[in-house]
Amino acid sequence: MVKRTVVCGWALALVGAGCHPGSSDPRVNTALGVQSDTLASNIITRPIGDFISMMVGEGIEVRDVKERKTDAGFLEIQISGYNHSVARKLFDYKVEWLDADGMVVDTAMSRWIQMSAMPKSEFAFGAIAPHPRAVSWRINTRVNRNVQ
Amino acid sequence: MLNKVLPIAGLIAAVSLSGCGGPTQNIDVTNDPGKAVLELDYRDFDQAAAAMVQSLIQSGSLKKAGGGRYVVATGRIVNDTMQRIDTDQLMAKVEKDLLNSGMVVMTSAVGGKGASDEMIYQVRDIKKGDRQDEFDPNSMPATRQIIAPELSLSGKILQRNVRYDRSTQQVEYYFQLHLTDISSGLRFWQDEKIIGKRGSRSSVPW
Repeated sequence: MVKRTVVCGWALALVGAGCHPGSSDPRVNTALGVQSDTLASNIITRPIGDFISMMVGEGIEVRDVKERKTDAGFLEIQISGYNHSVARKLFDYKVEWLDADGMVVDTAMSRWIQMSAMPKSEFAFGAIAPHPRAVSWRINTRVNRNVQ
Repeated sequence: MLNKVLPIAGLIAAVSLSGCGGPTQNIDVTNDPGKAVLELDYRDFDQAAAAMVQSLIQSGSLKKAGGGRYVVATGRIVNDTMQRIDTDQLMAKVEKDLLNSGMVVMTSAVGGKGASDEMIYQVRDIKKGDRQDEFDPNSMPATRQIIAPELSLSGKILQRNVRYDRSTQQVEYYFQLHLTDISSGLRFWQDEKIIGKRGSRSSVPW
């Protein structure tokens, strides 16, 4: 009987680990500890969910890329995504701009920029081309170990 | 006995001294994975310059009504930190990107530290000096040719040291820039980039 209860608890925690309710509007994200406790977030089952999240190596997912041209003819981009992890994700990104021939446009803006994505939250960052002749781009990322 | 001990002691001393300092290595400045330092280093200036240029271009303040390019002068950039900083470390990157953007022309004739290229005035001084006969007068710059700046880019770098706990200090650096229309005195754009660091209280950030 005890065994069955433990197994059921684990199963429920596993199912609940991915859920993160707390707001009726997806634009409003309520963090753990701010929202009411759920099966996935209460003090007993949360460590299990955290452990699973860590074991499966949850990270960020890029969900949307937007582009537009400013009035002055500069290409502007916005990258939006979601951090699936139960931990804050710190990373650096670097945008490189390319001209119509695929040549990299040299700019001080092509530097590693810090980004922080809160646990189980949406995030977004943007960039603007250094010159109207920059018509394309590419982004690289790396783990940031220098930020607390 | 002494003959045996001395060479061994010498060998030990040589081996231990050779391990004191590692070999000098160049930094991979494009992808530097090095640890953060409490003082401002080139990575901080890179980050601040990138943020400032992005903000300035994004603001649309450099788009001149009726077309054409603004003439921009770099005004005074105050170093209000405890470190010896040449503010050109920041402004050289910003100026380069603004120039390359094709939206502005920078002037070397005037600036917060005076003319950034003294040759503009040295050549003009020749016209009034003893050596004027050495030069072809047609190759000398005519009077009233220097274009006055329309916009000025000036700012400040500030430092605040805060005690975080018994063993840690927090050092905050504020990079502030603003763009002013010289004829009207109106401010078109301004931004601030904060870089914060925490480290041992025994480290002195200057």
